[in-house]
Amino acid sequence: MAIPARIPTSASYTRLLSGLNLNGSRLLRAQNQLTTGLRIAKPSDDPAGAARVLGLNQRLAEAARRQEALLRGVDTLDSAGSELQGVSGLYTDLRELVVQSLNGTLNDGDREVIASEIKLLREQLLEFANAQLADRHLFGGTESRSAPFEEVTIDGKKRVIYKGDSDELELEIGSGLTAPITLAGDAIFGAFEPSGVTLTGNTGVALGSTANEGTSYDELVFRTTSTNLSALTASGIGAGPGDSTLLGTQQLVIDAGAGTIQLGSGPVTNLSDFDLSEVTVENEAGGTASLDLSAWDGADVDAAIVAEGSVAFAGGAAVPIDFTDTDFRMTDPATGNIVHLDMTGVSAEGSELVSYSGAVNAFDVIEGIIEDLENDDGLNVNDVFDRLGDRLNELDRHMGRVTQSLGVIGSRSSRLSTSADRFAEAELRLEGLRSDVQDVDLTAAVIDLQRSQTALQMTQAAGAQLLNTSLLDYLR
Amino acid sequence: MGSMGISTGLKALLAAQYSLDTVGNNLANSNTPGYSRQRVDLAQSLSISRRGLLMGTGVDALQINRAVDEVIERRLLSQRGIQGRLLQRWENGRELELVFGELEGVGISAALDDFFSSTSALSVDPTDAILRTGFVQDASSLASRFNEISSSLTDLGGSSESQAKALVAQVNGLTGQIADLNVQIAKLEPAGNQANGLRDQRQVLMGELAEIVEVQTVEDDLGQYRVYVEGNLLVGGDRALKLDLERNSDGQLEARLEGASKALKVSGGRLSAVLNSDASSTDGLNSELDELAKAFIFEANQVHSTGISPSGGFSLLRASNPLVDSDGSGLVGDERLIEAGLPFDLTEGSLRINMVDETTGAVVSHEIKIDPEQTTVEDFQTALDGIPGLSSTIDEDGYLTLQADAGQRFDFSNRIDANPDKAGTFGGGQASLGGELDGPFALLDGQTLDFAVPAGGATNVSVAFSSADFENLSAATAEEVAAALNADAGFSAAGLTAVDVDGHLHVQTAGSGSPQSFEVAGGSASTGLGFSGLIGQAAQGSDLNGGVELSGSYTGDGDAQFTFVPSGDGTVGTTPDLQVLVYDEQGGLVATLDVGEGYQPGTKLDVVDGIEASFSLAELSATDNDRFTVDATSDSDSSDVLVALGLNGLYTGSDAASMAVDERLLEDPDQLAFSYSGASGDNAGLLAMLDVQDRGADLLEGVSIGDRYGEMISGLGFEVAGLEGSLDSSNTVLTALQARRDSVSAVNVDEELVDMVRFQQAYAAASQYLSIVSRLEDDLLRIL
Repeated sequence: MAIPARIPTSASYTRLLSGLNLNGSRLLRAQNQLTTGLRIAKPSDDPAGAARVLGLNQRLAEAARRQEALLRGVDTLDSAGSELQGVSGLYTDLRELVVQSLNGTLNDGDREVIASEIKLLREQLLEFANAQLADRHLFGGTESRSAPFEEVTIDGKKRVIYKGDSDELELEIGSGLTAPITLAGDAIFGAFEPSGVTLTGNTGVALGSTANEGTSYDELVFRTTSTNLSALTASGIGAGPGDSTLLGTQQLVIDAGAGTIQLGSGPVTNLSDFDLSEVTVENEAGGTASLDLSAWDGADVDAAIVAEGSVAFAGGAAVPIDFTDTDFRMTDPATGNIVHLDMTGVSAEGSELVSYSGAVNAFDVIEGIIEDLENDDGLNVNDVFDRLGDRLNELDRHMGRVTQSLGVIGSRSSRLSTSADRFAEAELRLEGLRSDVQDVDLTAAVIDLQRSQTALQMTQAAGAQLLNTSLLDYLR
Repeated sequence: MGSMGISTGLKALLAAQYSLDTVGNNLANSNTPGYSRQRVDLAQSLSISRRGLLMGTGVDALQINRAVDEVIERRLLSQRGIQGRLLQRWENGRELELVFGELEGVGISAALDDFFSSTSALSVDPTDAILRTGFVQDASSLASRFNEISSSLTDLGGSSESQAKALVAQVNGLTGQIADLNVQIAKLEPAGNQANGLRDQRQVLMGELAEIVEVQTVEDDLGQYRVYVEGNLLVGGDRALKLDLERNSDGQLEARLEGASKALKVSGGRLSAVLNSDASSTDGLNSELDELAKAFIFEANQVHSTGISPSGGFSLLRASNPLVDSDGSGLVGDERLIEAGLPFDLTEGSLRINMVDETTGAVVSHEIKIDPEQTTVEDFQTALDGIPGLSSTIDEDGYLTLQADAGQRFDFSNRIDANPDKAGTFGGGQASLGGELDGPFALLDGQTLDFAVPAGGATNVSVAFSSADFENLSAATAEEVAAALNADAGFSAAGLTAVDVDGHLHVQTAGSGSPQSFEVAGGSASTGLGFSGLIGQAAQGSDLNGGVELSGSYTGDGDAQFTFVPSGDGTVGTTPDLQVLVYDEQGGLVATLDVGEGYQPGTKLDVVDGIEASFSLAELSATDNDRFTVDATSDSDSSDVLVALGLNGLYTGSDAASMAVDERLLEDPDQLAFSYSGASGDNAGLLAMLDVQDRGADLLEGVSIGDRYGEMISGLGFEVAGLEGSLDSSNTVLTALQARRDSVSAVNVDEELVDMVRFQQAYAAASQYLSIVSRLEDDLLRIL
């Protein structure tokens, strides 16, 4: 500014005052920055910086919340994991008990004791499967509010059905990227991939040609309703006092010379072993015919016995058997289960366990084991062992499933932890960036403060000097 | 010589005296604001001729002058106008910054962060009661922040009115005083005086006036100021025109001069800043904030409206935005949706409504097509009422209410229809036959379609089509044909039904099981309907009443329709090489599913885009044209009609002031609807909500909410910082001008002291001269 020719007295005062104000406000600003530690306290301090701070704040909050959510996800997975550790141990105990029960020296009472132990394990398993973290059911898929596994009675048998869904709760682990934090219960305990149907029993029935569909177990009960011995009447052979249990058309062969009798492909038996008024011959499937040979004419016999019978599926009504049907369909309206049966080989009454392999949930497998051990239907020991063998296969599938699930949970958990760590790092980095923008550079601020202070002091000193000079001092 | 010497001496004495008095006055006023240094104008007295000599007769004090530079004064005035305007705007801006409270952790951005934090926390455990309550509270405090800032901005707008009133009153006071001074100056000055004091006073008042309104001045012959504002006379001589404040038709504040027909344009000074801030700054920010709130409400409600709460769908739901009878016809129904006064725009699209049976859990999906340019409120309501189990009412205030029949619930989610083959035209047990053509069909009046029930028997059913039953018989839709067939008494008496499967006509028996059969026996319409190749082909029922179950959730974009058809004839899980082919809407093959021998019925197969299908035991037939279609949608309300009506929204309201969390949710956080699948713990809606933060918002031309808010805040910051800068430089100019004015007009005490000494000596000299002249006279008298 050009110095005007005349300098009015007030100019020095004005200049002094504005100098004091300016340096005072600079000092105040420096002091403010030092006490708050912030370079930008309001947007107008540095609008571009403020916009960056807002953006960084948002990203920081995002990183923090993602990290928190991920850690909670890890918690959830870890809780599920520890429940499954328990399940794994339970399966091991269970398997040991089943193997024990397969010992032929045990009697029915011993097996019932084992059955009652297994009942407890089954209840424990149900508790594991319905485990909760806070109010949330861990194994219900995304249906977390109600217990996912519920015990019901179907066809007079205890069954467990899955009420959850097969979805998994997903968490955002990055923009547009999600990772699951749950494992749906039906994938762990449920009826997973169906892999066909097996029949366990000794009636001679086989599966038909059409595919089958169903879950859990069903029981097929074959009964003999009538036995037609008319082809033997000519030889003087009539019905014996016992029950006949064979089914279908069976050839009876009596070799008079050798003194032997044989039904179907059953064992050849010496007639001398029998009281001729009550001869019971057995075919290859254990189906029997009770005969009265007391009026036998002594000639060789090679004639057919025709036994009619009925079959009942899953506690349903018994229907007559058509022994020529190779693809007989049976359905259970209660469950919608469908099996197709080849009846041509049926040769003895008895029951067949229909097992929908891979489609039996863990609880039903265990319940089946209990049913086998209690043996209310009075099956013979070999049949029981056959069935237990089948159940063990299913149980092993479930054990494998749990082990596999534990692995899945572990890898999901570590994936989440890794993401959480990444967000923690991001948080640090973002904080650094924000600090660069928003926080005051302490050295600079201190120097600034020092400078403002010095400037203020100089102004004051200069002012004091200036105010002392006046012509009056020299006028007398 | 004589008396002349005395008179010269006396004049010198007086001149010194006046000058000394003026110095005294200058010293006395050295700190008086607006005071201009005065000087006595001295001039030689007229010389007189004495014996041929022109002789001076001393000094005259002509007048007392102010030292004033009019140019600088004028520039000062205009600079004070600029300064006043900047100062006012800066003060307003600072206040706005305080209102937003950003960077102090209390602003909208912090509330937004809290909102998304609780969204994220809830997404980990969607059914947790405490987290749900926390979410509702954070959603609510976000709304409160918007409300508070909006109302503060409105208050600031109001306070600018009271500021303007005060400023106008000040202007009127100042102009009155200036007019008074004009009068006094005009009275005094013609007498040859300079009314210095009055002029200084007037200049001070002018300065004050210029800070409020920018003015131009012209001085007339009488020394009176004429003051103009943008060319309009404000003060003319003794008259000051009154300034008034009014609101114009747009509700904006305007200044108006007494008697003027138009508003006064004010471009400088504090008043202009206040008037313009009323029009731009606060209102502008308020509308930006409203836009932001509206966009957020839109996005959040879009996510929420199609969700389902853990307690299931709705039995009753009321809209929060009323439909308006905008044409004043007394009826709301005749309004097209676009003009029904809804706060959000609708787009052409569709709305999916799922009806859920409470006992069986069976879901039936319906779709309503909406074209806001065409669809009227009544059309929409008719479509709603056409959904079995759903009814709608519009109350007298225009609010739409949806109600489900007892035992039914409804929702708007985009879940996949689990049982899309409801008619059983794919794997059902009914005997079923599908046409080979895709509608619409070209039919002629009176054409027939004939059937034989059972197959192989005599033709016993013949249905004739009448143009009366069709909108356009030459382009008959499958839906119309099916309706016409079903309406025929003979057709239904024979145990047949007709259905429309995505444009194809399917005819099937009502009963299912192997004894059921029928065939198309012919008829003139058989060619047009695509049955000509099927004449005489027996359709047989099946005891395997199986079908298909879909699961998963659709991850594709937009809407899609998938059609499933078998590759041949056979039984699921049994027939070798049996496949199900899946086509998209364009006819492209998107999936081939092996369901023949080796497939275990009930096993899930991946279809496409997250959809899974499992097939149960069923007999499929390609010859009978078995098929079903399923609609998949990523957005079950692509029309945004739910958001527009405020049905199942997270927020009610449509701007910053009215934004609030829906009462229903505040009372019961369990009603929060973030499940899309219907499962209580589904968090798909929450994940979608998290997306809202970074996703470009439709209403903000693709800018995200956070970014737009950041722009708004930094925009405000830039404005305030810019004003600070301008204010600084304007200050510098003002100070410089002031210094220049002072260098001309202000008093320098030292200078005055010098003058004092000078005039004191002049006075002493004049006194000495007088005494000498006096002695000369005495001496002369003594000589006489």
